[in-house]
Amino acid sequence: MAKITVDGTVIEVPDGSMLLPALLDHGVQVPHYCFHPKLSIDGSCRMCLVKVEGMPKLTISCNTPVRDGMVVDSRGPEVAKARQGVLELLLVNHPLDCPICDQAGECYLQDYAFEYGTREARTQEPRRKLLKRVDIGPRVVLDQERCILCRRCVRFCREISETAELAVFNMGDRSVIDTFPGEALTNDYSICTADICPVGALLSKDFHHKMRVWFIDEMESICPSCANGCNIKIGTARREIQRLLPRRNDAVNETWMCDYGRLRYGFVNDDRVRVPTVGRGTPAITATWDDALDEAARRLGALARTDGRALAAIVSPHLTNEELFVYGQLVAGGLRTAQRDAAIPLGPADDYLIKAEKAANGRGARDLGLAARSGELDLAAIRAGVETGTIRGLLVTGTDVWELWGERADIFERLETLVVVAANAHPLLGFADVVLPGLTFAEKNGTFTNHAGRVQRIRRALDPGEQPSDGDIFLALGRRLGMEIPPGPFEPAAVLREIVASVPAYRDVTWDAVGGLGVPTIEA
Amino acid sequence: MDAGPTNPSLTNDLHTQPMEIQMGPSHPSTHGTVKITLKLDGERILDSEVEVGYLHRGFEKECESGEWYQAIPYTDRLNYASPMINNVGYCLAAEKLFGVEAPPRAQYLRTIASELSRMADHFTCIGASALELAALTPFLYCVQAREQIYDLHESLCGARVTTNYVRIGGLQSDLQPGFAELCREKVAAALTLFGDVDELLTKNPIFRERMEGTGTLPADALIAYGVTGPLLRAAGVGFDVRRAEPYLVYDRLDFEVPVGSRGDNYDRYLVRFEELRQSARIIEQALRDLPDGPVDLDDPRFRWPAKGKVFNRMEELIDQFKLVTEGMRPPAGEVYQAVEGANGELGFYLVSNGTGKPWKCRCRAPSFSNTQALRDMIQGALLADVVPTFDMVNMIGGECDR
Amino acid sequence: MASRVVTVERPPRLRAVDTMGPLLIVRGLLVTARHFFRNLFAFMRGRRTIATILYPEEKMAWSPAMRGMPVLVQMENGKERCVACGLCEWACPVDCITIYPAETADEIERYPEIFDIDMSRCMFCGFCEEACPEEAIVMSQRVAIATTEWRGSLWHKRDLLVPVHELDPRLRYIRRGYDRPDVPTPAQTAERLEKR
Repeated sequence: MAKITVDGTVIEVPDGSMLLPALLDHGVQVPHYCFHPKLSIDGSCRMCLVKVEGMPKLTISCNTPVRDGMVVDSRGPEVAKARQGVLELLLVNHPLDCPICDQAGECYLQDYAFEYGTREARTQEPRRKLLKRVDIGPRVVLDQERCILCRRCVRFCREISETAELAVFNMGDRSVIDTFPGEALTNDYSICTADICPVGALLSKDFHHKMRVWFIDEMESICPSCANGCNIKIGTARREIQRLLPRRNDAVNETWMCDYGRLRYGFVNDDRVRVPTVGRGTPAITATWDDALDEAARRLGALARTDGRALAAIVSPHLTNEELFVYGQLVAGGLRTAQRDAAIPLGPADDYLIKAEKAANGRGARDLGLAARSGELDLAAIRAGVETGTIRGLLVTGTDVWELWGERADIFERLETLVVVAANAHPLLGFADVVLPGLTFAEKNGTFTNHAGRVQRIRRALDPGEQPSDGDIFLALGRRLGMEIPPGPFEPAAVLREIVASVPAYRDVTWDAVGGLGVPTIEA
Repeated sequence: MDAGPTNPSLTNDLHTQPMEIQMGPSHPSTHGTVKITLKLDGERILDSEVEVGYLHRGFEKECESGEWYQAIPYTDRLNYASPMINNVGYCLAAEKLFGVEAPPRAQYLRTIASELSRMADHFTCIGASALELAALTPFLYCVQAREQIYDLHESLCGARVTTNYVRIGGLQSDLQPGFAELCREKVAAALTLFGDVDELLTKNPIFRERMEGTGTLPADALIAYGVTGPLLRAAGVGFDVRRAEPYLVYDRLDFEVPVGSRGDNYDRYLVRFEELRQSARIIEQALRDLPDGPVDLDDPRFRWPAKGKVFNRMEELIDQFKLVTEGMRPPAGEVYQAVEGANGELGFYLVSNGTGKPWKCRCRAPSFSNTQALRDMIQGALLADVVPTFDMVNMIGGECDR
Repeated sequence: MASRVVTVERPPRLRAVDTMGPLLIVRGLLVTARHFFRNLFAFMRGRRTIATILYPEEKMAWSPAMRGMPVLVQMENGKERCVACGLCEWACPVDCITIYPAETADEIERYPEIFDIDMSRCMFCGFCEEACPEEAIVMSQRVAIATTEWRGSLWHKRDLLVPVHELDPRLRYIRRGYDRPDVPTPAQTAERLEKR
């Protein structure tokens, strides 16, 4: 470790690191554009200039390695003047787009100009005219006039997505960002370029002109769309999810997320099932929670008491670990069956963040013993059982089983009893005798376990109001099926403690520890 | 009419009970919402309890949920009879957080605005008091005089009562052409009307009998209650914030601070009367001495940039965005700034935690302290004396309850 | 300090004789009669001496400074000038403005698809007009907006659009404040920044 003095305070920084990331990690505010902790060093923006004693000129801190005994001044008049100069030059050619630019409110140019800039324009000339609203890709739009040529997007495409669609064309003050001729920005992580763009040059088409950033409340959570468990921030406003953004977790997703997961949040806002229904066919009859739960318990209980092999349970890999644990208890103690398996949808994967299991908690389902082990009936065998008539009742959570069983209406029509707990409208619900509305990942607190065994926290970003959580539904069903469950609501933190006690690989997990950057389970 | 003890032997023989009667919160003879629970023996008040809070709207909490500039329209609604003074008080306190002063022209204009509002408040007080003593004509004359002041408010900022005129670092806008003549004309018209009120009221025996000698409280009791303003000055104490801790340009202007000698309601009326004339004097001097120059500090830390530049220049456009959405960020700290409100010392205690929203915005309301003294003022008085006493206390509900 | 404390003069003590006699009544009546006849003769001559106007036959003639309800400026081509930047929505202390932005194919790519003002919340403070960077929302002189049902107080974009030529007086009024006098020259600004 090297000891350096910054603005009079002595701090310890790792040997060999560059000055800028060391300063940022210690909470020293140093403005920067082209530097990004996960990209190569560019040194093109000149915004991170600081004064290092002994060097004749100001030096860019992103490309200055630390040396023991270095004395750094990041706030003095020389540094302030340099920052003003850089900002003034950047703003000379910047279009007056703030009112129509989505980046307002999270724009580095606005923030630094306000903090460090001259605050009074000395120029009023008409700005240069370049291309605006360039359709460079299916999910990203480019505005060349706003670009400050930090080249973060070019480096991202070269180093992270390794697709290199973007480059800087022309030279000098005519430089512009564009895609190579004939190419489009199509890689699976393209919207990350809009994330890292410090200004509004690259913008996500999904968020384009949607909502002003200062109205958005953010909540930390985990992406529900595949087993990678990328750390995200859910941005909500007007009681809807407006966007998802990646969060930094060096052990999971660094600072990136894929476009598929980022854009997959509409199911939280739209087509939601909010009231229980009873009765097969359309339209089903709305029922009260008590009536629906009674009916479900009656139907499932009838089969549970007579024939343990007539019932099976489908486990949703979108449920949290705590909900899965309680579900497992319900299946074993209430339905009194060992026939259960997880219905995990699969899709294409890549060698970086995108995983084949398109659900967040498949691993959690397996770890908690809710996936069929060898010798037990797996999903295909359960389907066979339904087709032959051995299995006459199903308790289904989630709706992926419909696609996984080939969207066969006849299979579900054969069932005597079908109880479904789901959050969104779906063809499967038309075959259900009882539909119990569930919650989405944005409306509950709990944990997911990602493919590598890391347990991470999801947090409630939207208030579900009076609607009970899936865990509450399972407890209510259990009580009606004669299980000994003490009264009280479903408490994820308490259930997690039970999981920790009963699953050896989870013994290091605590509710508080998972809240930060997650806790890895112990590989058995 | 002096308040005196009841005849005890009479009460003992008759085995009577004192009557508890509630005066308010809505009462035709009290302007303002306040409940006075009176314990009466015939017409004499044995004891009373004053209950305020009927107009509490959470002003201080509301200020915490918005930016610094968003609190200014709420201050209008504190003492709604003299709105400019509240605006001035708040903005002076916020400017103190930054340690800046508005430009001289703005200071003179703020002085003129404050004095206009003070006149409006006194017109309202005296008019409404006369009304409640069944002198209906002076009320209408006072309201008509107040109309002249409201016309001037409107010329300054576009609104009669909810003015929203003062900004942190300056004013909403500069004067319209012809304001000085208009101001002189209207203030003179208002004072002429008030001359008629004087003719009808001041030497009127009914008015004098109701007001002289009622509601008296000695000066030390008033000071113990924290009473300020015309109430305290009527008792002979010459405390005026404009004199004690001059702000704006009061230390450069010539004016008199009227005090009374007996501290009864009649003195309070005379003090307010004289203050009207002094306010007019201050306005005249301020108009005469009004300097040219900008009305806004061109300080981008808190004052929104000039609009012409926002349309055309990048840095100012960015500033406009940042100041409107994230607000000004004063250094963390706390300040107290007092101004002379129409009812006394109006103070704003602002606490900043360095962000764009106030951490705490406490308003020291003169009416609140003044109303505390009401109970002692009416102790032992006749029921009819409550009316002139309460009128002269001039409890403005918006200010008292915030 | 140019202020002094002066004791007010109280008129001489009230004597019994002061409370008697018709002189008092006459004195009071003289004042009111003066007002009465002055107002009457002026009214008969068609001039005004009182503050009351005969509304709705007569309407107040306000100066352009008057702050009525906020309206949207409609350009010559019929479209709103507003680009849905959201500053007025945020500046409003009572959150009465709701904007849903959307994209256009025009050169100016953003416009408000939905622009609602809840007039029952609006307190006519004028911050929306001050915050707007496009001169797209201004205070009009309209105040007669009472309705008989609450839905009538939610104004939509089509109700709020007013052609720009009708808003000329207000626009000229607010443009007086667009450039502050004594604005420093660039050289003065540079000098000030040196000292910062």
